[in-house]
Amino acid sequence: MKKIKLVMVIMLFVLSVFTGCSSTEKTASSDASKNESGNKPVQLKYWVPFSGGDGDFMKAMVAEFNKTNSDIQVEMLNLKWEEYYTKLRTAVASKQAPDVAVAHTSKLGELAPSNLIAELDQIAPNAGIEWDSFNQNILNATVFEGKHMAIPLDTHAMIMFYNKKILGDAGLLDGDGNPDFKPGADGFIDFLKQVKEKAPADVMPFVGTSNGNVPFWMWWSLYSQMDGKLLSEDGKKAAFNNEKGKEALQFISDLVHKDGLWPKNVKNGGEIFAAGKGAVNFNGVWSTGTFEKNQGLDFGVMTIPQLYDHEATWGDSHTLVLPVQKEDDPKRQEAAAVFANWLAENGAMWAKAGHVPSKTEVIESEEFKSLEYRSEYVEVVDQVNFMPNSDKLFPIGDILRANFDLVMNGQASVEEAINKAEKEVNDLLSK
Amino acid sequence: MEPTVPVTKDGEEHAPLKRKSKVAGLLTNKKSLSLNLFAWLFLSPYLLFYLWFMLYPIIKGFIISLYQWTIGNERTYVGLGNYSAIFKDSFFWEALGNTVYFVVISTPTLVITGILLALTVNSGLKGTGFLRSAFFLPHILSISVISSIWVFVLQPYTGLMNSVLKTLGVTQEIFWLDSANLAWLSILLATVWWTVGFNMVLFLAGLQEIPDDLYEAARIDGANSWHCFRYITLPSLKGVILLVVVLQSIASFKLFGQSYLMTNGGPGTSTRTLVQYIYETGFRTNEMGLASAMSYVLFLVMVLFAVVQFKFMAKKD
Repeated sequence: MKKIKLVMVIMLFVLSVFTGCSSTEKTASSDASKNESGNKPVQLKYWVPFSGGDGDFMKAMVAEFNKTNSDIQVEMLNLKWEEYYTKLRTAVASKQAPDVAVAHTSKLGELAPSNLIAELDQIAPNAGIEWDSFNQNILNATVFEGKHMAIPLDTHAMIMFYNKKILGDAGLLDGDGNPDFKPGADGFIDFLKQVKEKAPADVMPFVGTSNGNVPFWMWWSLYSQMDGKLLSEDGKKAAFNNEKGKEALQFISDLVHKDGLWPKNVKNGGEIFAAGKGAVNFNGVWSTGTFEKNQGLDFGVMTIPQLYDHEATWGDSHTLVLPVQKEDDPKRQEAAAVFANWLAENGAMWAKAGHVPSKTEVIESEEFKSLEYRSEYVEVVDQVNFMPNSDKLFPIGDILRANFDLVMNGQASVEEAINKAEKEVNDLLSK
Repeated sequence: MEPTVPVTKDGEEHAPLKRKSKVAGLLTNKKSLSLNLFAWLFLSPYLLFYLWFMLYPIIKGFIISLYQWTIGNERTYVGLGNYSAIFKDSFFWEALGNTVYFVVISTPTLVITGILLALTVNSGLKGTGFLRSAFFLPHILSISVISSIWVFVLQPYTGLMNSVLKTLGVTQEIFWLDSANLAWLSILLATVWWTVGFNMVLFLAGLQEIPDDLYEAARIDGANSWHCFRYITLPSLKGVILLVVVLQSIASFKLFGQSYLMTNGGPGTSTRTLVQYIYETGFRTNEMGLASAMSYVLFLVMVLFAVVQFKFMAKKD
């Protein structure tokens, strides 16, 4: 009998260990230091998907916020990008969501209709958020059915990097040190052909990673310059199988296959440019942060050149959203909104990562202007053409990337790829 | 649980014959109760985890597969609708075909390479201790590390492989990850390098079980090395080979990390495996019901494969 009792005791102990783990969180914060006014500060949980440099800059911003705001204390959790949205989604569904989280504008179309994030119009005035102070192009992409769903932090767009040394040696820079090419698609191609002729043989005139995002973003930039649409008005059909869509993809295909200006199947476009073996590179603004760390690299930046009707480029935004909680706590939501607004107001710190701040006054601030390179591409705030809201935007991107890859490695023609992508997107949207 | 002979206080004192059965009776009665309890106690942590994290999700997964469901939204019951949708989905068949293709090319490669490495390491020559660690070492690395290493080695223009080939006189740039056949070869290469060490260890354990006197006797009878291998080693390893083949084909069916990280299923969708397609359906398209149904189809295919292997390979005994 004694042994049986012992067994029971051990079993109870084991059970208590399993069930006990859920109650530890609350006790942890209870002895947190009180602030000047004597109230306990609001403790916020904050999730971000930042790898590399972005993560360090955000960490510094949170530390700065905690230092200057005694009423609100933020605890940041940095998750892997690949699993970030899966975790965010499941955390909301299991009522354990963080108080505030980073979400891309392109993901809002998925989060908002699933009731995963709170609308902000009630909360914003109390937290001192002035919607007018944001760049309207960036802000509008975060508005759903007239409701504000997110507080934008930045925009990160595709821009053009060029190697000043290579272009300078080839005599292809103008008096101001800018690349010297004539407007339009032909002008740009001629320019790259001259690079090929005049630069050393081991230099790639144009370089970028040949599969995945780079061709996709490039296509969207060029297609946007012709006012192309991704989806029909109601969002239920693909709308890119047209002359403009094909022309944009043909331009990219010709760079690789017809003119041989962009070598085939490059896997590490950014690295090759950073190593000084590429003359021109289309890449995201965040690469500025990487390239400027390269001592030997003398590079310049500009927005994607206007090859068609008007200037436009691919871009997305990091925004801050308030995930839906088990029970709405207006005080916590307000604190979360105050924190989010603070991040946007201090966007100059965030701009060190290469991103362009979302607030007009930040862009005009001395702190931002003193950063090298950033002012060269700040116009992207108005040039970015955000992709349309759709809860299927990510899988649509997957389809386009997979099909464009086949054009890039020469396994499919432009016509074939666009037709196949259109069919696959329509199948996806009709599910 | 009932003792075979009823035990009384009288029986204990007067019948030495019955004494034995009394002890046996006690064992099956009181002692075995406490022994059983202890067994359950030791099993309980694993059992709890097993029930909670294996059995429950398996059942729950089946229930989800009968619904159309996106996390955060209401679910609607669709019966077997998800299953019939799968059978009409050409991407599903392509992914299943890719997966089976990989099972077929990878299982023999990994089993045979595993045996060869185990034989090398078991030969008792100098330096085999080092080789044993060297062969097993990649197995402890994570899949993201393995994939990064191989992309680094195989990428064109700057990759190690092409640079070496260039110094050997190959002038053409080889695109290891950009045509379906070469991409499969690259994924296979990475998989072998990563996982063959585990198979080697299993075979090594099998080899060390074989008594030396068998070889001695064969040598006296004039057998050469090939005879020893063919008539002693291979038959003795039969059980291990069956085990490795089954484990390996199950592992190959679950291929995801290598192809996802090295080629992202490309070029196009030509190396997209079923597990990747399930992942994309569940977490990119947010069709949890469809993804669960696909998982169940994969589960059935794997069960079928394992049953066939057991039947086919165990029959020869």
